[in-house]
Order: sequence, then structure tokens, then C-alpha cells
Amino acid sequence: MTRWERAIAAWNRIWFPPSTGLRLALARIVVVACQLFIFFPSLREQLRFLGPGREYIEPQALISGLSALLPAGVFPTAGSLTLLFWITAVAGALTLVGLATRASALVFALGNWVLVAHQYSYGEKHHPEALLCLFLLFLALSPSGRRLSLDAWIRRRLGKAPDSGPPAELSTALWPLKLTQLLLALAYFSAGVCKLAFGGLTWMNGYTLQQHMFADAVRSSLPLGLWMARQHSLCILVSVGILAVELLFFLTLFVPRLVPFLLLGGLFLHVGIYVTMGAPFFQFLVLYVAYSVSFLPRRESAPEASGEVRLRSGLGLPASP
Amino acid sequence: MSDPTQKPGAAGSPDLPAGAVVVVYDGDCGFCRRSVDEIRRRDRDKRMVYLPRRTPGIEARIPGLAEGDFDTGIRVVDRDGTIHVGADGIRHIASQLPVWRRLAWAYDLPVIRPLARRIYAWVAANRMRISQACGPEGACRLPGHEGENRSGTHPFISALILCVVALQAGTFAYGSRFWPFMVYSMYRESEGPRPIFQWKRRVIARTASGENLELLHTPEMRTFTIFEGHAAKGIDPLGLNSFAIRKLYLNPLLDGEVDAARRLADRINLRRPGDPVVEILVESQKLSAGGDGVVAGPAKTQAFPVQR
Repeated sequence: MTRWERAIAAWNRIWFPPSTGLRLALARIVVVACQLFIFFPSLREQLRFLGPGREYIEPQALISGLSALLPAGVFPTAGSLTLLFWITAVAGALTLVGLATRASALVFALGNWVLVAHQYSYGEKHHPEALLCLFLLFLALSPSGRRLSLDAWIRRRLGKAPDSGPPAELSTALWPLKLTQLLLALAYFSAGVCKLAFGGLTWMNGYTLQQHMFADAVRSSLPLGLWMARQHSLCILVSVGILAVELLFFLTLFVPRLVPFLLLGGLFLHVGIYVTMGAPFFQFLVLYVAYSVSFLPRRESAPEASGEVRLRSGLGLPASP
Repeated sequence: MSDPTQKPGAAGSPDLPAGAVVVVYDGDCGFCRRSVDEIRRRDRDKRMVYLPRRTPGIEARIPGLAEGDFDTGIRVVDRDGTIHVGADGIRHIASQLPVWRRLAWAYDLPVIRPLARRIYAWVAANRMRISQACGPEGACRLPGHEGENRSGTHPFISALILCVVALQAGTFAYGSRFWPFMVYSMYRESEGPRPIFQWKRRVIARTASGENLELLHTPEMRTFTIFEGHAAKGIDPLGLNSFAIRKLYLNPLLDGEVDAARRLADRINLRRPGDPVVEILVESQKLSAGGDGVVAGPAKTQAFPVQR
């Protein structure tokens, strides 16, 4: 085996292990339900920006592309945004129940991308939606509707899939979860490295967090933030904790035993930021489903068990289900 | 690549279905077998017959096959006996398949044909290596084909994974201009020991009739927005986010740029004609963190008349 072949074999072991698609299907249901009912872009917010004198302050690349393709009288208008909103919502409902899952997930992902990018083209841009929107696209490019879906039910009814027996395994049903884990780790690492690169180790001196927290707590009138911003020692401890979670989160990719601890750290981080600084990053918590589905009980069989041993050393997830 | 078409052939010999297009491929190559399986799956009208090159007696049935080096690629024998080779053969196959036949014309566009021939020639020359790299039995799987208990390489997905990771990891280099790939750099600056305080500000536009319009809008976090899928009542006086208002108008005003008041008033008047804005008021209050709690200083209001 040449070095090139060994590298490809290792790549395949990491990204394309066999799986029945159950984990991906569960993740699809959780993430799409949350996006549809909790994080879905508000049409009211979209329409706020329209009207005389409308201009993009910092058009996102996607919106620049759309604007180049479509005449100004077509997009963005109240009509086109409302139509896009409802098409995206219907596609989301279809993705949730798993009907024409690939097509509906693609429409749902692209609709969300356009709506969020449109909202962020008027001078204010935030992070929370980014990774979740990427995950929606991954759903469209993977067999996420193969289990727990109307598509699967219809296939069985039409005799295209067996009614009983173990479901067939696929090699394309885990990469969206693994890639999401990697992107989460990169995002946290990016946040931690930025703090150290720009602020240095003095970022953990307590004063930094006090100032940032006080500013945000005043803006959002958050009593807990106003109280905590006055606790210097506590802010030192929390600063160290924040950097530890952000810089060490990538260990979840290699050391499965650390996953619960780092997810718990991330949970405290995001809930803490919300209650003290008013910044909702709950989309990140929803994406933790990419980890939590790996705790599902696994089917017991010799080949799978040996497969898991190999995969444990790679990115996160075991092979089946 | 050799001459892409060879004549004459003998596709109409009695051993082959009349009127069928014959696809002759390298049966020893797993990648080729897999590719032909994909084509066969899409050939719902059964317009083509698929034969491995080593099929006994094939040269007797299609004499033109003996000509040229088979390493140059797949042979597609047309109904009139013309043999299309390599990339040209793939184009001919596409013209037989539902959906794909509508895209086959793209092959004749400038640049596309020579480019496709070059790429095909490389793949054909390396098909055995590709087959070996593709896993057990050289059975590469192409995107969109699932349902089999078999692992393998997925070139499209692998490329996507590499692109996504590169775009996310590269945000340090190119900044965060391309949403959703962003630098996660919030709250990155350090602060030294100094009094903890924050200015709380309101920006108000006063109209000729005396109405006060509150301008700093912070979107609320709302859930179940799908069920409120209706237009907002009336027009927002500015149509901007709070960040943009601060950047474009509030900060310049506080820096003494009084023309910002006129620009702000113009924007509001454009969206809300009839009762023009005559004055912008900025209300500031300093809040400090003290040992006993938050101490609010006196609220100060600065008035910026709109000068024409």
C-alpha cells in the first residue's frame, strides 16, 4: 500500500464509516425542529429594512450574488421575501417529517442562508446562526431522510426497502455529524485564540470580563450581569474557565471521555453569556446533538464492534447505528 | 487522446439488439464498473447495452474496437456504427439519458470539450490507481448513490469537507466577509484596572409636530416566528440595525460631526414623509459599577438641530 493509498484509507475510516443513518435522522429532527420553531428568521425583521432609502450597509457575499443575478425590482421586495419565507418554512416542515428529504432540506438550507444573509447585510452581523445553517446544508447532501422519515415509510410501503431485519448501512450517514463537531471545535478555538492573540494573557485578569460584561448588561438591563460585573475574583475564575473551554473543546474530537465535560462547559458558557450579557448562542447548544447522538446504544455485532474500536481514535462517533 | 470517432463499426450485427447504443468499458477496472453501474441505473429507457471489453467475441461483433489503444477510454458505439471514444463517448452517453440529454449541449461549448478530454485522459490513465484507492474491490461510489453496505471514497463529499474546513479555518486570513464562515473574535480586547462604567444612550428624532421617534432598535429574541409570518405594521423610521445606527450616525454625532444629524433626518424623512424631523436628541447616562451596586449619573441630553 502506498502512502497515498494509506492516507485515503485513513480519510475514509474517519469520515465514511458505516452507519444505519439513525443518528443522522435524529439529529435532523432535533436541529430542523429547533430551527423551524425557535431560530427561524423573523419575516417582520426582514421587512423592517425595506422601504424608501433602503440600502445595504455591508452586503453579504450571498446577497451580492443574488443582487447581481436578480433585478432590484424582484429582490429584495416585500413580496419576494414573504414568498421566500413561506417556501422555506414549508420546506422546513417537509424536512422535519422527512418527505422528499433531500430536496426539501436543500430548499430549507438555502432559504435560511438567504434570509439570514439578507438580515446581516444592513450593518449588523452575528455568529449564532452560521454553523447551524451549514449543518442544514449538510443534511441536504447526506441521506438524512433514510430513517425516521416519511420517505422511509413510503419506500417500505412500495416494497423498495425491507419491512423487517436490520437496516442497511451507509458510509455517508456520519460525515455531517463529524464535520459539525469539527466546525464547532474550530469556532471555539477561533474564539479562544483571538482572545489570546489580541488581548494576551491579561485577558484573564478579571477586569476585562468585568468591563465587557458590564457594558452588555447595561445595554440589555440584566441584573445578574450587573451584579457579576462587580465581582472581580469571580470574573478571574470565569475568564479562565471560558478560555479553557474554548481552547480545549477540540479535544472532543480525539478523546471521547472528555466529551461530556466539555459539552457541560460549553452549556455553562452559553447559558452564562445569555443571562449575564444577553447574547443568545443557543444554536450552538442545539448543534451539540452531533455529539449527544453518539451516546445512543449501539447494535451489538462483531464487525461493528471492531469497527468502533478503530473509529474511536478518529473524529468522535462510533459506527452504528 | 486518439481520434475520438472511429468508423465503421458493426453495432447492427445480429448478436446485439437492433437500434441499441453499445457501451464498451474496461471490466477489469472497479471504478469503470461502478461508473457504468451508475449510467445503467439512470438509463431507465434501456437505450444502451453495456459490455466489458473482454467479452468473448466482441471484436467480431464490433470490428472497430480492435483499432487504437483501449487505455484511451470508454467506447460508445452509435446506432450507425460510429465509435465515440473517451470524453466524446461520455457526451454521447449523456445524450441518451433522461435529464442529462438536456445538458449534453454544454460539451460543445468553447473550452469545455478540450478541457473534458484532458480530464478524461488523466482519469483513464489513472483508473487502476483510482480503483485501488476506492476501497474493497475498487468499488468507488459516486455521490447520490446510497443503500449498500459498503464503504468507499466519496470525492464530492470529501471535496466539500475540505472546502468547508478550509473556509472556516481560513477566516483568520480573509476576515469574516463571507457569512457563514466567520472569525469568532467577540470580546477579544483586554482591559486594565480602571473604573467600570458604561454609557447608556438613547437616540430620538423630534419631528416638526413635536413627536419623538425612538431610533435605537435592538431586535428581540422571539421564538415561533414562523407563526407570525406577516408584514410589520407601518414602516420602520430608519430600517437599520442598532450597530449601523451607531456606526453611521451616533458615533459621528458624538465626535462633533453635526452633519450626521442632517443625514439622519434625511433618511427618516424619506421613509416617513409629511412630518419632517427637525432635531436629533442624544440622551446619555453614565452607569458605574460601585461596591454597593450600580450608580447612575445624571442623564444629559444633547440636541442637534437639523441644519439645511
